Formats: sequence, C-alpha cells, structure tokens
Amino acid sequence: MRVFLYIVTTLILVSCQKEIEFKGDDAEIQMVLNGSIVAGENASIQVSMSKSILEDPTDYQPIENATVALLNLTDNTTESLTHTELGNYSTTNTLIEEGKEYQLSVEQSSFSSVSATQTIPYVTPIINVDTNTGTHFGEDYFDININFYDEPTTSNYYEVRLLSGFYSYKIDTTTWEVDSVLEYGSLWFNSFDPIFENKGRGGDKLLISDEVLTSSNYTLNISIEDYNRPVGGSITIMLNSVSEAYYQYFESADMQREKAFFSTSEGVPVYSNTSNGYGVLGSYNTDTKTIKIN
Amino acid sequence: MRYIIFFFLALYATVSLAQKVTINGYIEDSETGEKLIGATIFDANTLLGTTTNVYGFYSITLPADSILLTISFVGFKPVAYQLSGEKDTTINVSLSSSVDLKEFEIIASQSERIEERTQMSTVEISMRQIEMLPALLGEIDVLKAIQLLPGVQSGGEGTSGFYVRGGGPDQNLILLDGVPVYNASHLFGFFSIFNSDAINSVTLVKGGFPARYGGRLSSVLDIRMKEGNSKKIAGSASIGLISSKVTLEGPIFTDKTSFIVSGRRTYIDALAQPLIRSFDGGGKRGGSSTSENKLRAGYYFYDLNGKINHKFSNKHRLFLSAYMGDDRAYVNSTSKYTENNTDFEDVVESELKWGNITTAARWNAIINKKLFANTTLTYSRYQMNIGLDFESLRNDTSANAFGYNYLSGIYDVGGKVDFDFLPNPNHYIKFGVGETYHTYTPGVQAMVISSENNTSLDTTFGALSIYAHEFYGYVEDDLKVGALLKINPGLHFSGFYVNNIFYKSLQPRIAANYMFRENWSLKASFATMTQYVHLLSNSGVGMPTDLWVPVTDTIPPMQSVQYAIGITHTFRDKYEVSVEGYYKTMKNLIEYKEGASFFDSSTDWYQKVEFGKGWSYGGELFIQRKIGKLTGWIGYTLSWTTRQFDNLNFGEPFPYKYDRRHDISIAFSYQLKENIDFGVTWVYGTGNSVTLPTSTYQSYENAEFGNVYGFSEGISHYESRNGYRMPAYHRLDLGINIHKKKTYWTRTWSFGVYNVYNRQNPFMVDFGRNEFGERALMQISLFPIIPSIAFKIVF
Repeated sequence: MRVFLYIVTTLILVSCQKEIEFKGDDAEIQMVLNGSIVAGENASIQVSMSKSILEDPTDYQPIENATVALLNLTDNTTESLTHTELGNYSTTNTLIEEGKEYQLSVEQSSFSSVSATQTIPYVTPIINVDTNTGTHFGEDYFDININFYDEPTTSNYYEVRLLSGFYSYKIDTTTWEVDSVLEYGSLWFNSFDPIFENKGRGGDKLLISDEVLTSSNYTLNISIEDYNRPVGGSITIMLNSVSEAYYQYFESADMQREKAFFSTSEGVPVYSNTSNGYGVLGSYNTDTKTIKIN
Repeated sequence: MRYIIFFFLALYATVSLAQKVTINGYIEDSETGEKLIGATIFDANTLLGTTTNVYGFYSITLPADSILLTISFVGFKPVAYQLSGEKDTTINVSLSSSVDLKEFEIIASQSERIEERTQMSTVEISMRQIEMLPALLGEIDVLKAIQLLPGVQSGGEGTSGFYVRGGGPDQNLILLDGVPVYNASHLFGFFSIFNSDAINSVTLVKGGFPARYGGRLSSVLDIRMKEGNSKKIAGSASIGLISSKVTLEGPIFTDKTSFIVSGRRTYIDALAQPLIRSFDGGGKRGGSSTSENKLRAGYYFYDLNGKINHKFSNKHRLFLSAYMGDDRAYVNSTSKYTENNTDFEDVVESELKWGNITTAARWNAIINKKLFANTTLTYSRYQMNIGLDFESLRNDTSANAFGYNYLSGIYDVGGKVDFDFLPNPNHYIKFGVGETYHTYTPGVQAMVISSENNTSLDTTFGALSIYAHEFYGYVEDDLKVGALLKINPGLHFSGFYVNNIFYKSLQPRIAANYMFRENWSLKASFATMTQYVHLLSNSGVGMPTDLWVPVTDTIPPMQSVQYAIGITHTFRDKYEVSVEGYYKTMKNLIEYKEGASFFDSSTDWYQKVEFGKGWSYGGELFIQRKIGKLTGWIGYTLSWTTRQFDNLNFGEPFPYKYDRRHDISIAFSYQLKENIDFGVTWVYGTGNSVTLPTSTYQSYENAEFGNVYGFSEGISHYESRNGYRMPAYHRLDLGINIHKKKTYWTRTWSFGVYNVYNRQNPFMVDFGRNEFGERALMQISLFPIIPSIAFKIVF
C-alpha cells in the first residue's frame, strides 16, 4: 500500500504547469499620464505608453513628442508644458495655486487624446509636534505625535512622510569619523495608532482618509525604531493634504503589489482618473515641521 | 394574512368532510430495519396514494369499503394488502430486497414517479448509486456526486464545494440529520466530511423550495444518517489509499434499540513521515559546535458518526445522533546547537485546525393516525484555529517566546418541532416552528511575547462575539386538485434578532404540477428565500479561513427570488427526463472590499465588505435511469450568472467566478454480473471566470522618482473583474468493483482511474515565464491520471 501511495503522490506532484494561449493579447496600447501638480510649484508630469501584459513590465517607452497643456479651469488660462527628458513635461511660468481646478491634456497623433482634472487641496497646518520614547511589541521606538486640524465639513485625505537629516560616516577613513555634511533621505516609520490596524506597519509614507479619524483635532502617532533615530540630525515631518485621486491611486497600487504575492487573490485594479488612457494625475499641498534630534 | 385565513379554512373543510379509514405506520427494510424514505403507498381502487416522510412514516385516509394497498420502494419487492372494514389501522411494513427479481419486476417496485411529484428542481440519489461511481483516490464522496447534477457546479479541480444555480457556497443549507453543517470539507476542500458508510439518503433541492426549508438562498442538501441495523450485528471495514473506515451497527435490544458507529481517519501523516524526516537538514552534526534538527510535519483528518435509536412503542421513537470531525495540519521543528559551552534550543510549533461537531436528539411521535410530530434539539459547532508558538531556550531556560492564536467559529443551539398532518389523500400538510441561538466568533486573536521570562505583551484582540436569535415558522400543503393538478402552496416566516435589531421576513412559496398527458407533466414554482448568515471568502474555494459572519445592524440579510418552469416525462417506464428553466435574483450579497482579507478584517470585518446583487438564469436537462442493470444519468446545464457591486469592477456588472455557459455530466454504473459492477463519469464545463490583466504601464512612483523604491514592475491594468475564461474542464473517470461472498462477509476490491486520458485541467492561471524565459500565461493543473485501489469487507 505504501509503495502504491508513493506512486500516486509522485503522479500528483509531477510537473503540472504549462504555457497556454493568452486570448487577450489584442488590448489597445494606451497613452499613460503620471504625476502630481503641487501647490506653489510648477506642474510636472510624465507621459509614456502602455504595453501588452505579455511584454516585460519594465522599461516603458516614454512619449517625447506629445502636446501637453495645463488649463486653469478656475481662471480660464492655459500654459503649454515643455518636454525636458524621457517623457517628462513641465511648466515654467505657472505656479500651482491651492483651491484652484486644473485640467491637464495630452495629445499625440498615434493615440487618443487623454486628460485629467484636479483641484488643489488647501494646506493643513501642523499645529504641534512632540516626541517621546516608547516601547511597542517589546521593541524601543522614538514616537512622534503630530497634531493637526481636520476640516470636518469636507472629505480630506492626507499623506505623512518623514525626511531624515543625518550625518553619515566618512567613507575614505580607516577610523569611524562622522561627516560634517548633513544628508537627507526618506525615513521608514510605523504607526501603532489603532485606527490604522495593519496599514500603519512599516513604510516610508502613511496615507490617511479622514473617515477613520476619531476627532477633528487629531493627534497622529507615528514611531521610528530607536536605532533609526538620526542622532545629532533632524527629522522633517511632511503633512501632505492630498487629492482623492492621489489617495485612491496609492491605496490601490499598494494593494495590487501586496496581493500579487498571493496568486489565489483576485487581481486589484488600480485607480485611474485619466480619460481615454491610463495613469493618474494627483495633487497635494504640503506643510512641514522640522525637529532637532539630540 | 388573507392567504393564511384561506389556507386554514380549506384545511378545516377538508378535515370535517373526510371521516373515512386511516391506515398509517412505518415502512422499513426487512433486513436492516432502516426506515425507507419516499416509499410509495398506493390504493389501486381509488388510485390515491402517498409516500413515506423522511422518518419512514406514512398515513393515508381512504373510503372504508374496499382497499387494495400496494407498498413499494425502488430496489425492494412490493407488497399488497387487501383491507376492508371501518376501523383505522396501523400497518408497519418490512420490504425485502429485490436482488433476485428480474428487471420487469423491479420496474413495478419503483417509488413515486417524477411526473407525479409536485416538487420540482429536486434530485434524490441513492447511496448505492454513489458507491458504484468512480471516486478520486477511491474516496467515495457524496458532495462530488452532487456536483454531477445539472444546475450544480463544482468549485475547482478535485474540490468538494458546490455552487447551485449561480449561488455562492454559503447559500447551500447542508443538513446532517437536520442539523446545519457550516464547513463540509476536509483537506482544504478536496473531500467532504460525509462518510458514505454512515449515510442513508441524500436529497438536493435547487429551487421551488417547500416552505419547511429556509435560511439559505440557493439549495438544501438534506443528508440523513443510517439508523443502525435493528435486526442483527453488521458492519464494514475498508482500506483506501488515504484513509480507512470502520462501521459497526446492530441491535442493542432487537427491534427496540439499535446503534451505528462509523469512523474514518486518513494516514497521510504516518506514511509521509520518512519523507519529512529527510528534510531534517542533516540531523546531528559534530565538531567544535554541535547541532541537531528535528522536523515533524503532517496533516490528517478524521470523522466519527454515531447514532442510537430506541423505539418506546409503535408511537414513540427517540434518536440521538452525533458527528464530529477535525482536520489538522501541523509543522513542528526543534533546532538544538551548542556554542561556547552554551546550549541553545529553538522550538517552533504551528498548526491549522478546523472541524465540526453536530448533535441531534430527535423524538418521533404519532400523535394520532393522521398527525405525526418530530421534535428535534440540535447543537452545531464549527471552529477554526491557527496557532504559532516559538520559544528560544538558552541552557534550558526560556530566553524569548512568541505565541499567536487565531480563533473563529460558530456555535448553534436550537430546537424545532415539525408536524406532518395527512387529513386525506388530497392533502399533505406540514407545519412547524424552530429557534436557534447563534454565537459567532468571527476572529479572536491572542498574542503573547516574552523575553528572558518577562512578559512584554499578553493581549487578546479582534472582533467581539456576536449573539443572535433566529426563529421561523412554516406551513405548507401538498394539495391535489382533481386528478391532474397538484399544488404546494406554503408560507415561511423567519426572524433574526441581533445587536438590538430585529429582521423579519415573510416568504411565500408555491409549486404546481399539471399532468397534462400520461407520463408527462408541466411544473412551475416560485420561491422567495432569506439568509441571515454570510461567508466572507478570499479564495472562493472553501478554505477553512473563510469567515462565517451574521447579519448585523449595518449588514442586511441576503434575499432571493427564484422562478422555475419545467416539463417532466417518464418513458419506457425506466427513464425519467426533466427539462427546467429558471431565473433567480439575489440582493444584499457581500464581498470583501478590494484587497481586504480575513486577517486584516478581524476587528471590523463589517467595514471591509461591499454590498451587491446578482442574477442567474439558465436551463437544465436531466435524463436519469434508476432501475435495471444500467443506472445513472446525463445532465446538461446552460446558464448565465452575473454579479454587480457599486464599488467593485467600477460598478459594472461582471460574471460570477463560477459562471459557466455549459456544464455536462454523464454518470453511469453497470452491473455486469452479480459480483462485478462498473462505474463511469465524464464531465465537461466551460472554464471558470478569472481576473487577469490585459496591459501594463509605468507606475507613478517610477515616473516621478525613477526606480528608487524598487518597484521594478509597473501597474497591471484589468479590463474587467472575472473577464477572462480559463480553458474548458473535462475529465473521464472509470471504476470497477469486484465482490466475492465469503462465509462470514462479502469482500470488495475497488479499482479506479481518475482522469483516464490525463487531461491537464486548469486549476489556476497566472502570468509567468515559459521555457524560453518569455512572459506567458501559465496554467497550473492538479491531478493527472491517478489510479486508485481500495479493499472493503461487509459483514
């Protein structure tokens, strides 16, 4: 019986993967618009083209000869964007203003014209930041508490990022010598705030929909693993008030990547606000506060 | 309300006018004492008849002058009684097996014909027929036989989940001796929990639901356990490729008290141990530092069925039945090593365990000649547990430890009383009430972390238990209007009290059967159903991690409306044919929001779901032969099933995962000789709907920052949810059983071949790399051609 079972087991475990014909290979190639327009800055976006799912999902072809225009729908003014490199286009004269609505349109003879519209969010000031050390799940953390006011009459979305200002060690010395030049880089952090459940576990950004906030005057707790604290340097807290499109795109794109590891899960479609094409045009408005780390 | 008043007036009129002779009793198998369900009692003089209920009881009221009763059941010799007189009579009948009858005699002994039954969309399969069909790895499986019926779709390759007329897996009410079973699968869905040796009858209702059924939208699978041989000690034992079974039954007091116990256990874990030990990583090592690794892993399932019944008198019987079964997958490892005279030991223990317990206490009482009562008390428990423990020891002292436990389950305690009232042959009235107290624990998590014997975390979190009361009442009448028309009107009322919210539902049902020509009938039905429990599933294949959750103050009950119409015909007295069309709508269906899963939805699962609706329509053809050397059926289903959720697939309707345009099944067994029978099944199904991307494009992050975040791959664009069809599924299975009578027992060798022509059927498809390193659509298949062998003795 055991021998028979081993034969059956071997049959079951025998290579059972094969290539089959994909009948969706005729999907039309589309223009892709990606970027955010940011309050107080020039508009800058990237234009590229999609490819069949059977092609390698890397090295996307930029579109460098498109006509790109930014229309201020609030003031009814238009400015063309100039191509810089690798499908990147930007304005030179128009600084984006909060509260105003913009439409970005892209035309290229081989594709249908695409466009996307955004209203720039108002800035949400950081009222206060305080810090302390704490222990979470047995590990030492440096906690940062960010207090801000969430306007209760509108649906708001936020993104928190941290920028670390740190001194690295000099490379060309045989001794451990700290460089005198301050360097900057994104800082990885967690949030153990129960409103986020697993979402706050580790990342370089935290997206928040104000649906989950328990009060308008909210103090958000985020935590850096203590050994990651840039001693002698600084941490810059960026509270971005982001548009719904920006929030939806990152939420769904992160989910698609996460679920790609589990082949039994349904594929997650990624949000797009680009009509006749793919990609997302987002917008945000940033307030920052920098704290010194001793 | 008007409907109810009319109903009871009709009932009163019938009772007051029909004072004749009532004959009642039980019909049983003379050899085993098992009650026969659906046996026919027919009066040749008046051409009136009835059938036994699920407890083998019948009652028929006839004119007193002259009665010629024929009592018959498929596979048994019919018996006839000539009666005259004016006294009510009790006749308990024992029918003998008809193995020595010729085919034409067997024809006369079949049960009620399909065109005579009011109820439509209902299929009964005999256990004998199921046992003669070939089975995966030789494991006879009731649910896999059910999947071969028209209108029923299987989940995936080899799995035992089933989907009826576009409904989800949670919309099937699976009853084991009247007790709901929540997760009816072993081995991650590949086998069902029902041990065929302990089962007496299987009935599937797909539509036209009689009012006595409620609580689920799409089907009722009513499985009745054997009661135990009341005449003599009998039993069976079998050895298969993955499991062994033992069944013992017999009288405790002859014709008074009988019992049956049946057990099954797999032994994959024991047989696989030598293979698993080879993964120990080399075992012991010597040298300046020593190490030793031990790995123990395995999987097994078992189930136990037991039943005792006692006859207090001809009027009162008591039944106690129980089922318990568990699945357990585990991986335990120990790693020991010594460094610098310090002994280190890491111990990891993990397990996934799930199982059901169901128990029922049932009291059958004949209150009078025309009124039969069944009172049932039930308990049902489904529990799933995931455990992970890690401990690091230094010189036998705990240094670090981590423990995690996830527990979800449902606990039901209930009671119900059902009455069968047979005032005359033109009415068969059923009514009853029931109540169930549910306790739902949709995900409790516990975590303990300690370091150097100091506990730094010891917490329990997750969803709180939810308590709910569900109750129902019903009344229905199988009513004969003249010689050609039968109608079954009914009303089912149910209520659900949860979180201080009371949901209630009035569900009218009606089925009609018009016998417009000899052997032909036209049937139609209408049924509304309400369901107060949902299954949240990520995989859709019946995994133990699927979460059963109740309706709450924010999650309303699911509701469906189903219309069906069909024609049935019996030809050559052997072949039953039915053609049915149906249209079903469903609302308040729930699905996880995009990307949500059972782990991250443990605390507020009700906020992680989307609401939607669905509709399904199609046609079914069923040709069945129940008698003779050749028995079996051909089934064909043409169907469309669609879902629509406002926040899934951008609000657009999309095909249900198990939307299959065509489903064909052919299942036959042939008795070649008295000691040899063959079984063959062939199935074909349109490929499942899956969600696949069609294009890929640059991600925002790469566009803005370059590939600094390591997102080397772009965004996949999905045109539609479930918008892609996997290749079609088809498979041929063959089996042969060879029996030999010995002095004290009959032994059977069973040989089978699953997937005879080695079709690589799709289990799942996804993009990957082909042999040339190019990106391609790859298909994963599970079961190639698989032979099986099993040995069984019956005594």
